Amino acid sequence: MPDWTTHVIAGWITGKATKSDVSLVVAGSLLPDIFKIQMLFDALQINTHGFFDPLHTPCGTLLIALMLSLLFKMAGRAFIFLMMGASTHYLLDFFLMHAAGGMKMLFPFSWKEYQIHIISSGNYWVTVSALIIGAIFYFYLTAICQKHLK
Amino acid sequence: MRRIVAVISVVALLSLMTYSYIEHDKKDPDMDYILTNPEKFEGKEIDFCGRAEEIEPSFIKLRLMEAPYTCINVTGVHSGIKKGDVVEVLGTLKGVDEVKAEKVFVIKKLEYSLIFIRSLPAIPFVLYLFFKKWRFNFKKFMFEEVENA
Repeated sequence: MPDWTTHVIAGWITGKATKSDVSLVVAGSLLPDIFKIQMLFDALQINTHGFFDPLHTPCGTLLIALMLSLLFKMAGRAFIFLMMGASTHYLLDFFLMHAAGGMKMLFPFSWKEYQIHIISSGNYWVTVSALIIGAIFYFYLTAICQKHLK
Repeated sequence: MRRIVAVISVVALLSLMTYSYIEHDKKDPDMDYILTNPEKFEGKEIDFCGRAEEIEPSFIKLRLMEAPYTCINVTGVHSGIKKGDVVEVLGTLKGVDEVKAEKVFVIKKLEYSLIFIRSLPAIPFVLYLFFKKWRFNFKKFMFEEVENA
């Protein structure tokens, strides 16, 4: 996984660039990592036999987004924004380097794993780059807002 | 309508998770299953992740980061791995506790810890962004927009 800071910045930029509800897009950008609940069981050395694996698949995320969106008045819009954020998450995770395997993008129809092994999750330059791009984008937006106010 | 959709999505998600739990060993066996049934995987390609515990000239001993959390000796690994590093291995199983590595991916101990440290600032940021705009109404059991957000 890229770190959550990178995911959140990607979600924030996407939300701002598409003039969407940034709070929901950013929340959606971390949605697939609900799967990290698995780490609690790993720490307790309890084998969950892949029970939580579907949470980090597009199909599982779609269902979670659907459930969460029902907690909002405009459920349809909330669902779209949450999924928009989740998409940025999968896009970033797609480039992660591993010895083997990847993400089960077509689960439950296929167990085949997909990944383009380009970036190491330990590479902090990804986070630094995301922070720089986020900062440039923020100042660009601020400049545009000030221009409109004048 | 909302309740029907909620029930359907909860049932669908639990079904997916149960399906994954049941079929996991057949379709995507974990190390617990592989090491319990080594005869099925002897000479076959497997992949796993572990933390380096001992570094010897001819092999490294990895503590599995998944069940059964035991140690596996990995041969055919290039030097440069240090104790505590997280190592992903794609290799061939030879017996119950030995793997001949074909491909290895190493994340240094410090780099691995930094992933979690770098993730921490994201949590308050997300909570701030979210609760700046939304507040939960327990009576309606729904999020409502905060006025003047």
